[in-house]
Amino acid sequence: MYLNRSLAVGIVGVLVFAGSLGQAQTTPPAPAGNVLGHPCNLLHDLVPSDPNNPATSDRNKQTPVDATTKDKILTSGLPCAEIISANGPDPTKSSIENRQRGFDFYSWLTFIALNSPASNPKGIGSSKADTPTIWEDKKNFIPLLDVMLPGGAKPNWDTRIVPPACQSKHEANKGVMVVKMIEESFNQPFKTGPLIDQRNNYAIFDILMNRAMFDYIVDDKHPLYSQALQASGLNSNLRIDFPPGRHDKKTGSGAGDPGSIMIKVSWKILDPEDDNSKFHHVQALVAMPRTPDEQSDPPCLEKTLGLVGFHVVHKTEDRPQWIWTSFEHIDNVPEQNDIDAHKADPVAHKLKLYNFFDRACTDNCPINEAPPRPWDPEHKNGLKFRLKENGGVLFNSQIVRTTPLTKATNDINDEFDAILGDTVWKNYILIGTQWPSGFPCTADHSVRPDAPDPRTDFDKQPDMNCAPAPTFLANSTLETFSQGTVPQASSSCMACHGNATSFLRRPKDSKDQSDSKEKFMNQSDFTFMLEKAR
Amino acid sequence: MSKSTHGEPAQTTQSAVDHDHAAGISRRTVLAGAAATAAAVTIGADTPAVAQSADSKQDMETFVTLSAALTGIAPKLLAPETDSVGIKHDYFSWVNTKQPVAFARLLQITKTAAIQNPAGDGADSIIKQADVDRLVQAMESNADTKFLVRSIVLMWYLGSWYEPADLKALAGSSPPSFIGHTVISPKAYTQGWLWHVAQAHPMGYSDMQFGYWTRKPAPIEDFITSRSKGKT
Repeated sequence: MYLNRSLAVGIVGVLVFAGSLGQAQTTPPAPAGNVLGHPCNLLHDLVPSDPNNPATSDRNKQTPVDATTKDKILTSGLPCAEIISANGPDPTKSSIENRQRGFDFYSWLTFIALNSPASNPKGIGSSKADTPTIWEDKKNFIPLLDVMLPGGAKPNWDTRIVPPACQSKHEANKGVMVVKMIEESFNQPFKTGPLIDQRNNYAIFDILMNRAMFDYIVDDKHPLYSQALQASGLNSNLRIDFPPGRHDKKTGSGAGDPGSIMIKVSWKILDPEDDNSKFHHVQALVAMPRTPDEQSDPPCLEKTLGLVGFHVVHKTEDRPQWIWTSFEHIDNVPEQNDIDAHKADPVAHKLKLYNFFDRACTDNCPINEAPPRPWDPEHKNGLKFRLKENGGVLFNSQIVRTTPLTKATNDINDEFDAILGDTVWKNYILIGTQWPSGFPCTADHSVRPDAPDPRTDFDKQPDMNCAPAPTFLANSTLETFSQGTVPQASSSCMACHGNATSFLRRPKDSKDQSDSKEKFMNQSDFTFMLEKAR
Repeated sequence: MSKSTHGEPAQTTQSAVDHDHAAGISRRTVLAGAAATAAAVTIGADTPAVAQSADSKQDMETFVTLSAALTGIAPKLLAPETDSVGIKHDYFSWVNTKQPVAFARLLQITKTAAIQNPAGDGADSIIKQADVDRLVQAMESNADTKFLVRSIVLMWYLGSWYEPADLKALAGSSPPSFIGHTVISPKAYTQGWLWHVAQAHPMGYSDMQFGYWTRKPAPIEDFITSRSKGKT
């Protein structure tokens, strides 16, 4: 009964969707054999102890990041999983510091791999600021809004939806990126507010997933692309468990699979006054969000978008709580330390131009505050925040990074920026990598061959996240208003996403909840994507 | 955002003896700290004026040993080898700021007691009762440390600071009077071992799986031991 109703809803949804809300643009099927992550990149922060197995580690030798290794690092591809060690050559470093270095090294490799040219995965060293990247390539990632379709329609990997107002422009230039805005495209997590840059434009956010996640969502055995199907009997006993990345550690052959990867990006609209060469940028058609009082199709704006924030979230065999990587543009915001130093000595410590901080404003620029409501972009203003009645600027965000980058993070950024030469990618910095640090806890389920499904173990108490390290992590463009170190209030990737749920429903005949076999867990494996099903 | 169940592969903090199945927790585990504090009196040990530094490695190790003896919790759980929370640093700094002279004396007493840090798992991960008794005996002769150790026990279990002087007044008052306390930090609020012992979490903060409230709590061993089934 439930299933029949669900299917009916889905079919109706397809018809409604195809008829009025957008045009499906299908590209030719991707060639067989996804090159992303094949072979797995086995480079890591320590030199292999066994020359025949790159997955091994010599605790006494750190992998140099310099001219001698530049070509190898820049062309090594995507890690299918992390390779980290508690040990390192510096005896003053603790195990957590050594492991953090390993995860940060992994994050940089991942950043380089995903931002390498789509047409030449080994060519980041010569990429231009507007060279399309691997993650922007339709073969490798799909936007969330092309998966969770209106009416719960079944998505197609090769199909992208073009909103009505964008269709004629898209016909003229099919290579342009299409960004479909909903509230989450301009309002930050927990509806904490929009981010307005120093040109008075809204920052824009987008979420994408890779093929492994897409395939799991559309799997006929447990379809998750619509609310009705999630709630159907097909999924009543499902424990959502996206496929993890893994590689061959025993031989270091490079065999393996990257598993599930999701990306969240933040864009700054580049105005003519901006220096496009400093940003990785794309030409985009941006379909504005629908507003309750505007019934017509939202306008479609032609914009140049500059990349200012980049999250990568990767589930791996040994890290079922996923690995959370965060990068930013180097000119986004100052740290509080920068401002303090400038105040103390304005001559020696000049502030530069920032994307989300006005160094000239000393009055009426409240730090890290959201704009006055209402927050929705008004169609008449394009993607500019509304102005005062007299035409003056009402609000630009004045953002400061409250938790400074650690010395170790700054050091590894310097190393990688140096090998990125004169490419645009030298303008990006790692903010941090959050990882589950309780290793025995983490490994409980995921690596045990006898573990029942799901191998992701959500029933850990008291901490299903297995001690995220660092405890807090915030990107100044994506978690702007929840920076800090206050438990439950400040941004922690795992602590937040561990609460993600879906529309799954308890089996009607479920019995005693203390029986683990019958235990219903409305979890969604650390992603809010499933909540966007329609 | 974590509790201290992570870290090394200890099986349990429970003693093989005195296990109270009704309460689901070792009597010794809970009472070791209280016994130590209650028995402490003045000593005249020769101690430095202050601890060696705010957080020297040697002093920190001594502080963890002292804390483990007082609380009955395995050192490797109070201070995991891979410690993403680092609450021990907060606590060390707090006590060292509040009571520098008495704290230095307490560390010296602990060093002198030459307590063996257990390397085993499960019950073998807890400091031996004989070592705890020897430490308590040493502290019994020092008025400065008698109520400070009680403050330290409360700090680990509650994440709050009770002034030793208030605890001293409380011990002598009849009927017991109300005494105030200070929550040491937002982080400390989430790290109180009380919550683990109660198979619960502090109000307003939890790392448990969404919907945990519909199910019975996991066994207490899941709360007060580190997991060891997988690889390290």
